[in-house]
Amino acid sequence: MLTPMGTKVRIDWFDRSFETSNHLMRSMLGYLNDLWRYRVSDKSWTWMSGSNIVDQVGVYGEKGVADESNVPGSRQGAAGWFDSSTQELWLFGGHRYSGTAQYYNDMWVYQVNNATWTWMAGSNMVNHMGAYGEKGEASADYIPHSREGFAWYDSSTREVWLFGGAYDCT
Amino acid sequence: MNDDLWTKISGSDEIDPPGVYGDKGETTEGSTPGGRSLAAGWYDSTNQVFWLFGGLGVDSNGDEGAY
Repeated sequence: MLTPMGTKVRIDWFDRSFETSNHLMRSMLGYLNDLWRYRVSDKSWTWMSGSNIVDQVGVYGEKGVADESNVPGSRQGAAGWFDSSTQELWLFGGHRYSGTAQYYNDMWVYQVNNATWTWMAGSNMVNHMGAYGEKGEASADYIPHSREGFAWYDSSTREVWLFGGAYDCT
Repeated sequence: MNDDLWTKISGSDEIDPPGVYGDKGETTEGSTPGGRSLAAGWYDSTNQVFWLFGGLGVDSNGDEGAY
């Protein structure tokens, strides 16, 4: 008798605390998909892409095909790396909250020279489980699980390294 | 730049400042991103350009979000 009741109290308390903190967060902030450029030479910011309003859904278009209307959805915690040889900004994953936690595993490239986004890999659905295949084996079909986190880029080999990250499976 | 000193380059002294967007693709005096956390960032050292994408923060209205 005591154990279930104690458990229930703790769950109720947790739920209220979680809802309260979530409400506070949600009432103040939103997720952005705006892209900005800061030019050191004249100390100027320029809004280059995305929306000036929070909580935008992504426009994926066709995988691998650049289009002026393409744009990643709003998110935080995406991994990003820059390829100076091609002047490309790359983006992987990230997270937003919209009623439930939503994690991405989509990979995007922004070509600076023509100011367009291209959806390159991953899913256009949130909370994708990934496709791992055999360890150490490469395939165009493989993709990491949705997450937010960090990545390293080796410009000499043009390889991205991704480790761990966060995913809320509740 | 002097060594071991911070210099404020841009942005507001207030917390949660809304973004000042101007026109997309045009450099407008006073344009600045709104306050945010966990944005993605890239630096192009050749052209001395810094790029910023997304994050959790406030937009041009100082908003909020439609949950």
